[in-house]
Amino acid sequence: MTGDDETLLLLGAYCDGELSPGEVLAMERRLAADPDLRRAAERLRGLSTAVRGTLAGTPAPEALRARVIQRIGFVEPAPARNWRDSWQALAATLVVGLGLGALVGGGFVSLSRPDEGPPLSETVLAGHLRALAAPQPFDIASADGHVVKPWFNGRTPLAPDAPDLADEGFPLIGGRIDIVAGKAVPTLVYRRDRHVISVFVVPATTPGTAPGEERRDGSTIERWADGDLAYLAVSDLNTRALRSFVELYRARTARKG
Amino acid sequence: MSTLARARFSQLVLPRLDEGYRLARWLTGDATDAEDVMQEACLRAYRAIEAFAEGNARAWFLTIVRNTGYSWLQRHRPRSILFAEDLDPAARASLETGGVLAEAPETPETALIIHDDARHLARAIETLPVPFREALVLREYHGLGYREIAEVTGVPIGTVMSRLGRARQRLLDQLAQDER
Repeated sequence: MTGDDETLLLLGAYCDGELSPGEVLAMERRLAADPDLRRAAERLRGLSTAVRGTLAGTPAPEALRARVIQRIGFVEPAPARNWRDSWQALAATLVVGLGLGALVGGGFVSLSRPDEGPPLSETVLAGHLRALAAPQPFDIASADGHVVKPWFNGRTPLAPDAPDLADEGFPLIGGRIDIVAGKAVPTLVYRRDRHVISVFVVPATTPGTAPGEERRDGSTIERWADGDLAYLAVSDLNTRALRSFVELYRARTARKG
Repeated sequence: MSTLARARFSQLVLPRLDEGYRLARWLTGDATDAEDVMQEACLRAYRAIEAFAEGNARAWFLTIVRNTGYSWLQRHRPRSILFAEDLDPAARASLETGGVLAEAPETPETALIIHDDARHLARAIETLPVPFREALVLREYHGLGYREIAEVTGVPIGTVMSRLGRARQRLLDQLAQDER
């Protein structure tokens, strides 16, 4: 190998065009005098070309853009009447519409909804995604239900049971607080492999809690009720796995109650 | 906020999705994970878009992708980045100068590489430690200058230079070894 460490670092910076003029001069002098160093420089340049080709060769998924727009569109639904206010926004909407085709553009616009608040499933899905986007999806990290449950006391009007289901492959990883229909509600956070499951617990009187299942933007929402509480489990886990999680959770909380 | 934010988002972020995706792809080493990271990064970018005043939108977005990728790795593969930021100063110094990495564990996969240059190279890049890999990707694919890489990754320029140097040296060594 040619030269010491420092020389190689300088050579790399030289090939990247990152040396100061004085350093460039010095390096060029050395290159002229040292055939080994010249070969090293050629190797580096060859490597750069090859690396560039390899890095750029990874295909980027075509659907990514559509999915991102869909998600952004629904995170903050725009009031329908404001969208004409700004020429810039109008132009941007047109650009999006033209550039992405009727399907995506249409979806974008149709997400602008009139006055009524967003449906419950939209709120919980947004809460779930927001949590995923944060450095961690919980406010308190604990696998112990006896820690998580009391933590909610005084923070939310409800403090749900938080059974650890690690033995069944759904470890409890913590809890957090979400705002649903203007109220602070407890959310339990579980994990299955790489998937995070958020379990929102709200009073059964909250509109939109009728038991059922819903798919939204790649996530599944399972709703069920138990006494005066309603539960919503949200995850990008496959539906079957999420269902079995719900069954387990229900069985475990029922036994305790 | 949302109409204006969306307008800016489609202007500043949407054109850079593929670019961001490739950074995420090489950071996480996996196509599906990269999509997850991109979804998160786009949400973050969207929320921060009004705070982004003027300047280098590209570096701004790549920084978000990079940081999202790091917290993603922290959450899902904590061991893969233990290497980088969480080490004590001495260990980190030895990382920057290559000490720890000289003995990077060889996986069975690296031993089984078939004779195909492109795959060799991709494989070699994937086995680079994350801080080296990101410097390399930002330089070679995104074409950022050292100063911009330093901004995106939050380290001094000297560190960028040394990480790039190590990364390339390791690739050359790895390729030479594969040829044997």
